[in-house]
Amino acid sequence: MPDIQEEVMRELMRDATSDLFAPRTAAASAIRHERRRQFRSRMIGAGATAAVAGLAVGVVLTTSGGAAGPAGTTPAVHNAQLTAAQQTLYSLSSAAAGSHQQSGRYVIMTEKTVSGGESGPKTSVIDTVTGSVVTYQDIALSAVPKTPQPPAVLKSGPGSVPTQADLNAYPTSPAKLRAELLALARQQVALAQSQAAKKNPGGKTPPVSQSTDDDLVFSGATNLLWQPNLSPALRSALYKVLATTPGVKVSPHAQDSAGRPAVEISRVNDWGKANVMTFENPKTGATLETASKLPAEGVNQDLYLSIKYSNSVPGNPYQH
Amino acid sequence: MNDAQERAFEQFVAESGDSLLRLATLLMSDPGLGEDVYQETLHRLAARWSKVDNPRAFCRRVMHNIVIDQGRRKRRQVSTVLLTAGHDDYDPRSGDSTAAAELRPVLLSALRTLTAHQREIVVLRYFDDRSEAEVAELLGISAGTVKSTLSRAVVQLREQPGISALFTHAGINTTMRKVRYA
Repeated sequence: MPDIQEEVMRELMRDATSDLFAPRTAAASAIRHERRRQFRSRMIGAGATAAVAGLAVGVVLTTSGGAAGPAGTTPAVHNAQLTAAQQTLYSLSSAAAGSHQQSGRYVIMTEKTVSGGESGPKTSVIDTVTGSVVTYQDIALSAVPKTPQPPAVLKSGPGSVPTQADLNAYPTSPAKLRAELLALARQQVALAQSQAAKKNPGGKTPPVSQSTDDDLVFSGATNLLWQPNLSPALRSALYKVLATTPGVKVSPHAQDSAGRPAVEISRVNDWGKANVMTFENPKTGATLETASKLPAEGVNQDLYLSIKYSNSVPGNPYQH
Repeated sequence: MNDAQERAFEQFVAESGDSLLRLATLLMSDPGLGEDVYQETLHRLAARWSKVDNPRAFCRRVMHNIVIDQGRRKRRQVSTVLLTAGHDDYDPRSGDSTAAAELRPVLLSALRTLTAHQREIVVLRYFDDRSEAEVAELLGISAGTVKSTLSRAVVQLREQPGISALFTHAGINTTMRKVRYA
């Protein structure tokens, strides 16, 4: 091809894209996504130290003055034997079951994120947009206002964010849901183990995780609770699962970082190094805030400011 | 990532983000999909940041993998909004300050008539300014295949309404630009 035509091709491609600029928050979004992924990985991998050291960590289901359950076991729940903490969680379950499920092709969740780090907390406010049909978009919609039709989207990577179809597939029986959460977490652990083994061919690969079942169930349940498009039945069942998970602490009259009345549900991993908290709206069962504290890190917070549902293409999520 | 790595990552995105977004847009021949690919690429880069020696090359490789995945999922898309033949002699760049906004739909529409493989070769060669040998190495094909694919793809592009006019007037426009930029 003559040089001049090559030059035309180059100019054409350059000129046709010269007004496209990357969103300023793209890097922050990727970092936040990575932090969240790393945190989940560490939660699954937590417990190895305790197990190797043979520590016996007592786990109890308590609240202020609440009764304790037996360590390391899943207590059977009967109405007559509910602790104060379990009663609060069952109230949340009822509130969630009675809530109205809003619908829309898109869910726009505005959240304020505070990330702890070596140089102090960093705060950002951003919209997370979830396509409620089958696919998920992690704030990758800055081009949407220019697009006349809802954009085609890429499904997020495996294990990152569940799609609506994934959510719909969860059982809503508490016992089956607990089993499902455990099975999924074990799959992730097995996958991580096989990946670690690939990096260490010929050598003995130490276990990537010795988390207890209760660690895995709590992590799985709280990772689902903040999803804005859970069905009332699934949200209700998740609270019942937490009510039967040893080590869960409940503060029925707490507040989230924005001062909103909340039920605080928290649990320290059985090896005692990571504390995960979630704050729920006592009237609707909706999640208001999630927070976590890992050793040597500040507190990481995600404060959910608003959730909107829409059937039309959302606006620019980078407007904040 | 620790704080220093995060700063380095943000610095890289600040310097390379625009060109990566443009590359993704051309590779996908769709602004929305390009945005998604760009964001997904950054996510994967962030996950591997501490192990990546050449972030730009890593991003190119990730985008290539996404293009391949997309190609497996769906058949080649042919634009449904082609300009009519009557617009053949229209050069959308001429004397218009909104050239990009006018050019982009024409170019993306034309790019969509190519296969994903052809499109990737054309974009890497002419937008990303990779040599034929570099394109061949990246895609795992021979330099000869790159050359012949480029040749066929450009012929196909030139047949697209709106693009053909650019080639027809190429000599004049390019010469004028050179004079103006001098």
